[in-house]
Amino acid sequence: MQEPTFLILTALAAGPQHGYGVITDVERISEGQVRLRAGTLYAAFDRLQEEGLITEDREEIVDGRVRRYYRLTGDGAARLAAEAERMRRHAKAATARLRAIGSGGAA
Amino acid sequence: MSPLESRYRRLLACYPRDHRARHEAEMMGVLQAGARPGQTRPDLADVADLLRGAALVHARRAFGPVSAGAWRDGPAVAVALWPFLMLVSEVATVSLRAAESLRHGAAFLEQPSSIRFLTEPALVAALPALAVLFGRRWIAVLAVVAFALRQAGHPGPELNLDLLFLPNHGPLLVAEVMALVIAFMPVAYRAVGLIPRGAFLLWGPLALVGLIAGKAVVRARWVDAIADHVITSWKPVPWLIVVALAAGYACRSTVGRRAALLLFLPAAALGDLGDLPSVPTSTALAQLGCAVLAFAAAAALTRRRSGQRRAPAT
Repeated sequence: MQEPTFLILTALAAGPQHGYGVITDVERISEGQVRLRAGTLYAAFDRLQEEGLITEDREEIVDGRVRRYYRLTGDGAARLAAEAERMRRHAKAATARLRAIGSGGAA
Repeated sequence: MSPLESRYRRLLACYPRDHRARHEAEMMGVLQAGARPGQTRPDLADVADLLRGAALVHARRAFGPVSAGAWRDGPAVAVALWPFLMLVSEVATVSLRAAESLRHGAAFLEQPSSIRFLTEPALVAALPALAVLFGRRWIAVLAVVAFALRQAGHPGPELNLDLLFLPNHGPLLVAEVMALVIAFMPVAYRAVGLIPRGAFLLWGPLALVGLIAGKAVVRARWVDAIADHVITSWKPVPWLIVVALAAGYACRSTVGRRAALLLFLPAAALGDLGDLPSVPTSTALAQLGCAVLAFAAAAALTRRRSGQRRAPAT
């Protein structure tokens, strides 16, 4: 799973969000390292909806513009959990080895 | 509409129509929310990101799981159409032969052997098309027998290995054999059902007219092939235009787009293209331009019509 996808699913794991909300949340989660743009975000939404990992939740009209909210599906939550677990195992292995050679592992 | 918004809209026009209908207003909101006060032009990074996003969405529509059905049906439709194209090609040739014979009087109509000589190729070509149309293998078997008998009765240049490499013999024989093979394929029978009957009624006669118009230039001796070589070099154009119009028309559906992509070159090759290397580059480009224009006109017309049909529903 690519980093933007992981971060989008992570943002939606907190609850339904609209497009701009996801962009700001991803920026916050990644501590400013990842700033999604509209093209990347909606291409990802298109794919994730097709794969059944997210779905539309509701729509609002704000200042005359449509604001559509997206939420994580059951499959999306399972996929995110599996990916988080995989990353946790890898991080744990990396930390253990770094600790063994004494060049890190304070974390 | 602000200059920034109109520029964003031009970029969003690169996305597929259904994606725009669903997300354009939403994306516009996101883009404007992220814009700086007083900004009139999109950032280069936004432009690149929107174009990349559009390419990704298009690619997913064209090659992703959602297009699996179209990739299955498109080639099947292209395959199913081949025996019909061979039939049209034979009927065009037979029509011209009949016209040539009629120029010397109608006496030949009283001789059964002449009638047989004229009609036999079209009848042999009709059998694979009928086998596909009705999904009957016994018609396909009959087609093979008729083809074998015809080849045995006319052991002419087709059986000469040297001539198999000439454009008017070898490829034509391969094309006929392909039509016979397709006649046995259940997938062709299933695919032919995807083509609207109205399309057959429209494009069948048009294809015939296009082929006859091209072949007649030389075969009916309207022009001296050597003295009027400029006119002769334009003989494939009527057929190329019909094929390009049909491809543009087919592009209104995802299945049609794939079928047109696969079938365009083999179909164009049926048009008595002649000795292409001897055609001047400028003429070849002008001919290609005619085909491109016909394709674009048909695609634009069918796109507008389908847009008009959709409009009342939305």
